[in-house]
This record gives sequence, C-alpha cells and structure tokens, in this order.
Amino acid sequence: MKKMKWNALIGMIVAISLFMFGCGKQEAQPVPIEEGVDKCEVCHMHIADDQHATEIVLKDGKVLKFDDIGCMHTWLEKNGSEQVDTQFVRDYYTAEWLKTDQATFAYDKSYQTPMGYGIYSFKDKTEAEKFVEEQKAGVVMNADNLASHTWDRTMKNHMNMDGKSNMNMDGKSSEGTVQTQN
Amino acid sequence: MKRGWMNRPVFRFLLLSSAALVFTQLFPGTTGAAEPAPLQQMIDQARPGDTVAIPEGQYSGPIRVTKPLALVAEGTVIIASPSPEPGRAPVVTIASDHVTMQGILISDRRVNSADAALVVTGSYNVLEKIGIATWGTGIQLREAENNTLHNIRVIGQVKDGNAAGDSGHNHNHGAATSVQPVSPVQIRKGNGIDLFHSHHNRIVSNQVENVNDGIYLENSNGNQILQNTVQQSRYGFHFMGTLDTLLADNTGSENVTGAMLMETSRATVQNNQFFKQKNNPNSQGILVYDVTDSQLHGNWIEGNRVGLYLENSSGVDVRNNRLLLNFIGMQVKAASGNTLTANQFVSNVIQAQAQDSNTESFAGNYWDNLQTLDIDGDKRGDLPFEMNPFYLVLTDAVPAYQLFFQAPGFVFLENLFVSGTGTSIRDDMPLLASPADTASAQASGRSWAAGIIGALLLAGSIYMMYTGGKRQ
Repeated sequence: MKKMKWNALIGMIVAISLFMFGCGKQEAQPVPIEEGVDKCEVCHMHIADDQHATEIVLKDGKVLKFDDIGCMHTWLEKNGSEQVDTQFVRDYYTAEWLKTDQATFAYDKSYQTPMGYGIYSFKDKTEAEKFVEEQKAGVVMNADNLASHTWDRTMKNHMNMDGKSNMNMDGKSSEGTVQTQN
Repeated sequence: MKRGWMNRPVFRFLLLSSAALVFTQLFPGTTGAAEPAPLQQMIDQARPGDTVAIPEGQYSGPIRVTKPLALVAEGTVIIASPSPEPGRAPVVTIASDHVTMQGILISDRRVNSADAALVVTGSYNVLEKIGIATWGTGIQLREAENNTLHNIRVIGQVKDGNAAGDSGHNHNHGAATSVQPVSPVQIRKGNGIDLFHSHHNRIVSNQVENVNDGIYLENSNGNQILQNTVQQSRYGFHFMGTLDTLLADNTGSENVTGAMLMETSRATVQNNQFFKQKNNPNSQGILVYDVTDSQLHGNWIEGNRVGLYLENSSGVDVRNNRLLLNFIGMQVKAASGNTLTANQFVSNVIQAQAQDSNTESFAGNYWDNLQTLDIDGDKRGDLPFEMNPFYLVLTDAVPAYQLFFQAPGFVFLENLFVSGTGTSIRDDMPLLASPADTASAQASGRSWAAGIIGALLLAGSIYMMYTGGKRQ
C-alpha cells in the first residue's frame, strides 16, 4: 500500500516534469504592432499596423519589428540567423501573421512597400498567383526563392538612375495612405 | 479621455450625416454622377487659356481640369466631395499643364482614400492660396514637374491619430463600438503634400497640420522646399529616394520627427528650424539615414528628444547648426566619412553619442559643458571632447534601460568605460567660445556707454550712502 503511494508520487513528479518540459518548448508567437510607438529595427521608420509589417522573435524571447520585409532581410544579413527563433510576415489581404517559411511572396518593382522592396506576402499560394495575374506584373516566390532574391529597392535604383526615371508606375498612393482591404 | 473616445464615433457619424444632409439640400441635382456640377460645366465651356472667375459659393466635386485655364475664386469658394466613400474620384484633378488655381478651399470627406483631395498629374501648374481640409492626403503630385505650390494650407481632420501621439496608445475605436456605419475600419491619416516621381517642383510658404507626413517626397528629384511649416504631424519633411533636394528655411514643430532624410543623395538642408519634436519615444529633430553627399547647414534644432540622428550615411557635411536644449544633442551610428564642424551644442542633457562610427571628422565644434584647456592660445581646446557609446550600446540591447537615463550609477559606469579606451569618437579641437558669443562680443563695441552710466550710478550711490550716514 505504502509502496504504491510512493510509486504514484514518483509517477506524478515524472509526469509533471515532462509536462513542464512541454511548456518550455512553447512556440514563438507574433506580437501586435503598436502604431505610433514601434519603429523599424533597421530604418527607424514608424511601423504601420498593416500587411507590410514583419517580425523576428529571437531565442531569448526578444521581438524585433520591421516595417518592410526588406529591412528584416537587412537585419538578418548583418546579424545572422543564429539567435533567430521564428520569422513572421503578414498576409497581404488579412494582415494575419504567418511564418515566413510557410508564406508565399509576390515581387515586382512596381509594388509599393514602405521601404520600396516591392514584396508582398500571402498565406495562400493561389492568392499570390491570382494577385500577380490581376496586376499583370510580378513573380511569385516561396521562402527558398526569397533567399536568392536580389533585394532591389525602387528608391535606391532611382538614385542610381540619376533622375532619369523611366519606371512604370500606376499613380497609386505612397506610404501613409491606406491600402488595406480589410 | 475615455469619454472622448466613446463619443468620437458617434460625433463623427452625426457630423458626416449632417454634412451630407446639407449637401443634398444645397445641391438637389448633384447626388447622381450623371449630371456634371455647375463648376465642371463652367470649366468645360471655357477655352484653353481663359480665366474662369468662380463666383462665391459651395461646389461639389469631383472636378477635372484638362486644359490650361486660370481658375480664380471670387470670394469664398468651397469645393467639397459629396460623400465619404473612398472609391470616389479626387475632389479636384489637374490633368493638364499651365493651369493656375487661386484662392479655392477644398474639403475632402473621403476616408482611407488612395487619392488626395487635389491630384496634379501635369506640369507648369501654379497653385496658390489654397486651403484644404482633408480626412486623407491633401495634395498629390504624380509624375508632375515644374509645378509651383505656394501659400497652401493643408489641415488633416483625423483627430484621433497617434502620429504626434500623446502617449501612442492605439485606441481601437470603431471596432469595439460599432455605431459607426460610415467607416468600420480605422481611419488613417494621409500626407500633406505628397510627391511621387515628380521633379523640379517648387513648394513654398505652405502650412501643414495634423497629417501623417507633412511634405513627402518619393523618388523625386530637384525639388525645392522653402519656408514651409509642418506641425503636429508624424514626419514634417520625409524624403525617400531623392536627389538634389533643397530644404531651406522651413519650420517643423511638435512632430514625431522634424525632417526624415532616407536614401537620399546631394540634399541641401539649411536654415531650417526644428522645435519640440519630443512627445514620441522615437522623436528626432532631423533623422538622416542612408544619405550620401549632402549638406546640413545652419539649422536650429531645439527642444527635441534627439536633435540630430545620423546613421548609415557618408559624405554628409554638418556645419554651423545650433543644437540646443535637446535631451540628446546628436547621435551618430554606423556612419563614416562625414564632416561635423562649427556646430554649437548647448544645454543638451547629453551632448552627443556615437557608436560604430569611424573616419568621422568631428573637429572644431562648440560644446558648452566641455572642460578643457587652451595652452597654446589658439581659441581651441587642447583636451578633446569625447562622445561615449556606452548609453547607445546598452539601450540598443535592452531599450528599457533608457529608464536609467542620467541615473547616477549609469553616469558612473559611463565614466568608467570612457577612460583609456581610445575608441570613442572625439572632437580633438573643440571651440572655446561659441560662434554666437564671439559675434556678440564683436558687436558690443559701444560698451564704454554702459561703463559711464555704471560709473555715474556708482558715484551716486556712494554719495547717497555717505550723506545718508552723515545725517544720523
């Protein structure tokens, strides 16, 4: 009888510690954007709470926020990904947070993003393909393609062109005016 | 505070609906899109080159100008958008060259619209004395060149914004209290004057209030921005990808950031004033990021959280600026090959900080808290002024350490780290007197007059004390 009690106790301790181990391996969660307070880790611009915002959750739990996926890329290039737990981007239509490696991307230099990298993220591949088709411009990429992307910026290109801008643009609003559809 | 937020959507709804009511009563025939507005008829009937005098009154948009005309208001002329729907066309579109527009007021009630109240796609147009009240962007220039925007006032109507935020709380109104049938989404501010692929425009003596970015330039070159004032907005002057921009004699006050120069080359920023950019945790007077071969001369940067922030930039010449009464006068990070000289750093809590920067030429600035010696009498200190990276490094890693700003222990640690490192950025020959002081000393050549008056007063008082004592 007594032995059984001891066994039960030990069993419980083992069970609880296993349970705790489980808790420790909690998945990194994206953190909401505080508009007007959060600024981009790289370029210092304020981050709009919209589809362009991205995040990196570090292994120590610290969250880095970026206003454009390009700025996130710049940070990763400089700091490496050793400390990185998870990268998040947001769906173009719903602004839902997605893990970068599970998202699909559409790129064209005519797409407008806060820092001019021209990359939109999508939850569904079909949505991305449909979007590119509708815009009649752009390419669909997955996370692997993104690794070999050139990361050109319209603004940098513009400066190199020395004023002779021949870029095709659609007269859409620039940063500041809303383009979300939700 | 709380009461205000609860009332706001209701109030806005009432305002909009009453405005709509007024409109339908004023213009019973203009609710449909089929019939053109009277003003549009006048414009359509005018021949190119005509002057159209617009009689006093209220007109409803959208108005499109497609030929060179002079539109001049006689008295108070208001052109308004008929409804808050974002899908509608801009209130006024100028799709022609050589149009003059003068003295017109524009009211745009559309929310979260991609277009501005006034959109210009032509060149050589002159817009003067125009007032714009908008819920979105005031003026957009799209592939528009050589236009002149003069004496224009843009006032953003979105009151709940947190751009120049009180404390930056993002109140999620509209979502919780769904009494607002007009706009269930959050209303976003637009920019005051927004240039995209637009070159060689002159933007002079305009005023912008309560918007996202006061004057925003993207991929636009050779623009001149002179004597404008931007206040209570997010960024006063925001450049993204510009060349040869001249920003002179402008004022920015109570914005999140006065001037934000990004991805810009060959800009000239001179004689601007940036005051009180301090209400946001990320406020600066001027932020320079990824800028090359530019000049910042003679700016007056006072009372900001950070006066001048310089990062990732090279070939920037920072000269003759006055940085007064800021929390941090200047922060320099990962910058190289810049020249900072003849600037005055006065009464900033921390004068300057630098991190990861090298080959910077900091020489001959005036630091009012500097303790130095001038042995050789060349009016330059022989002990350097050092900029300490300690605070920047720590707060970069853990932003919450900003709480220890100027805490005694923190200052102690900072001093520990400064000695003998040799790595900190320094001004090797700081000025002993500020350029302003030497100027005023030279100006006061008539000090003998004050001396004579002083001597007379002294003589008088000595006489009175002497005689007064004698009578007793």
